[in-house]
Amino acid sequence: MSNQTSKSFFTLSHLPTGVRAVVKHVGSDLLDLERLKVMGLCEGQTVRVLRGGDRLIVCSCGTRIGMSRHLAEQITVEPVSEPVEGAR
Amino acid sequence: MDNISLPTLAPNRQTRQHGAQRIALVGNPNSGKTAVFNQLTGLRAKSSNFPGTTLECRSAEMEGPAGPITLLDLPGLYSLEGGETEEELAASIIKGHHPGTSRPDAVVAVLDATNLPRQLYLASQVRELGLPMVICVTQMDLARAQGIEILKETLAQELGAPVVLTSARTGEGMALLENEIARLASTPAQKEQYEPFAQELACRVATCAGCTSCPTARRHQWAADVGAKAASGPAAAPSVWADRADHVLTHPMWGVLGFAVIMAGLFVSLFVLAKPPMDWINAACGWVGEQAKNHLQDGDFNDFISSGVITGVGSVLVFLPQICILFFMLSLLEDTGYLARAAFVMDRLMRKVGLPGRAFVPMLSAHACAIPAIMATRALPNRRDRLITILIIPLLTCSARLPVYAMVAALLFHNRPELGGLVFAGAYGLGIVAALGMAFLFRHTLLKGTPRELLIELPSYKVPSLRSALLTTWDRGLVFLKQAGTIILLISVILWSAKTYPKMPESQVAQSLTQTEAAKMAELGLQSAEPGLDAQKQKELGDAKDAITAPHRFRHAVLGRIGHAVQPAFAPLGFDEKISVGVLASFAAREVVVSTLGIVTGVGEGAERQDLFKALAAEKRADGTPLFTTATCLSLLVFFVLAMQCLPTQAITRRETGSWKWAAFQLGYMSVLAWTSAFVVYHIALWLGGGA
Repeated sequence: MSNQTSKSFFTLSHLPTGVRAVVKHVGSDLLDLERLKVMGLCEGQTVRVLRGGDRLIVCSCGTRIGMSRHLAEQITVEPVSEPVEGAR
Repeated sequence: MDNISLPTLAPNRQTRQHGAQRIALVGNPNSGKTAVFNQLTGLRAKSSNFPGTTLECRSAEMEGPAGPITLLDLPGLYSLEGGETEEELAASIIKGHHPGTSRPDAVVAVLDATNLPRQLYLASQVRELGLPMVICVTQMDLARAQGIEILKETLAQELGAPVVLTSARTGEGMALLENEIARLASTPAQKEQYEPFAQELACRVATCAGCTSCPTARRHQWAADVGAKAASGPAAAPSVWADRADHVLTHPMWGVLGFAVIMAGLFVSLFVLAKPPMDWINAACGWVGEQAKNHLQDGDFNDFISSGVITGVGSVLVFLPQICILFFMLSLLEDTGYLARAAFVMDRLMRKVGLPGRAFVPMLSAHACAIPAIMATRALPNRRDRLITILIIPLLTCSARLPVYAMVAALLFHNRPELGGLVFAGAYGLGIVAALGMAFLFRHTLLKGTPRELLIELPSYKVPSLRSALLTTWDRGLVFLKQAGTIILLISVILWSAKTYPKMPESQVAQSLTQTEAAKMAELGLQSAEPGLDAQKQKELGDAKDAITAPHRFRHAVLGRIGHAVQPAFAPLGFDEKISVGVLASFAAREVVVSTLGIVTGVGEGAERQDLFKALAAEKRADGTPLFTTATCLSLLVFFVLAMQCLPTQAITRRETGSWKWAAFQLGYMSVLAWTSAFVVYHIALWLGGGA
């Protein structure tokens, strides 16, 4: 997978639906970077994709967030197998 | 977990001698902040713009122990740093950086109990500002239904501020909140300067990407820890129902279909529900006009009041029910959490023309009336996206165009009324295509750039608050009525004056009549001289005489003269002098064309619609050929679909963009588009044999 940045890292756009993951990196060249971060999509936070596709719905900090695939491609995540406190 | 201390008291303290007089409600979007504000203030709330901006501020006066307190409902925001237009404004006001607006003396931080950790991010930033603060944890009814309990003492200890648990829906805790606000207002507050946690975090987020000690991440972690400590119960709200609803409502195909069904339902009910009150308003204005006409002395003042003021204001007031019902239903839909989903599913389609998904709801509202639609663009956070949407909204078919479409349908298909629907469908379609096309054009020329990437919170589904929807409706209705009472009244006066003055001397009226008209006048004169005529018959004969002389008087007045002067500009569209005058008169309000054509063709201003349409169908040009040929009708239709003929909309564009420049540009580009399109359609229709 070209968007799999290392063996266990994915971009959020490629994270399978329902799998929890920890945000490892958020692309730094984005106009929306700060909004992403204050909405909970920043390093160390746990996210889960509820709907994949061209427009994604992800769950972060207990909130559902709709985002474009382009934005999701800028976020690198690492799936976690254990349930993580705080992720819903 | 140990006590988590975020803000620590610094030694310097500033003291204010009086209690808080301006108190701001601060909270995340969708936190329930406005519902709390509505519950506290009810009908006392007023809408105005923040100084120097076109962004709306809602405020209300409350009675405090030491005089009135102003409560401000600031726009929702996620953070005090950066953000979109409204968020930036709210942050600058709280921080006291907004010119022309003094800093609030105290803050009520509204936190959604169903998602406390998320809300604490902003609360921590606000706490650091050192303003006296009350924490209002709201939506407690929903939280308890999900098994969540808030430990208010723990939360109060962590944030160093009193906590009130409330529910705007049930009214729980509102009296306590009022007491806390009164306490803020009565206590000479110590303004506490906290350890600048924010300064520690001041490294730009962008520069520390990848560092696990990113300040934003640490603040989120702090919020999660405090949230976990202060909220007991399940960490996750049961969301099976919401998952199922989202599965359908945000599906690429079913979501669009669902959106179409919901919006179709909204519009059908809008038109059905609005019809009776619109009829009542029409009847009431007619009655008031008639009373004024009968009770005032005959003359200009009588005509000014009955035809100018009452008819003019009434013609706009009639749209009040549609506006109120539209805002009521949109407010309910927004409260359910659905509108954010609608923006999500429409984003894909709207982005193709360079607009974000959120622009769809204002565009849809424009099919009722452009005024509330332009007001609804406030939901678009990006200024360029908002400007493009405002510019194209008047291209969409509003209710005021319907009488014109009905007239053209009757002229085109007077023998086959069942085909009249084609006129309506074609006109609606043309408006939509033109609006999307112009959005695409503006996005690639004048307002270059790409719409902001989709990033939208999808709030929890919930039962909407009827009280909030009614208050929103009241608020929007008042804004509209203020327009009707000021600028629209002014427009009515100007239009009436231009239609009336200068007056044609009676001797000149007699000279200007054609032979046929003079003969008809003589016949009417003889009839009215007959003895024993009742007042009703006399009135009918008088009206018939007025209808004959009205076109001549009208041509003598300013509007008629201008119409005559500009007729050559409309000749390439197939419009003769009568149509040109009608078009010109309708630049203030498009529906005026029907009554104006009634005047200039001599049928009478208040003639029954069917009589008017028949008379218009029989109208001839000066050379004796039929006036309303297929080509002329199509040209007229296209012109009215695309032209900017609504001064109240122009006034709203000016208000919402903050400049007459954009209102003038809107008028200019739409006039050019309308003229060019009508010209092309007229000549194609002529070429296809539609000139007969």
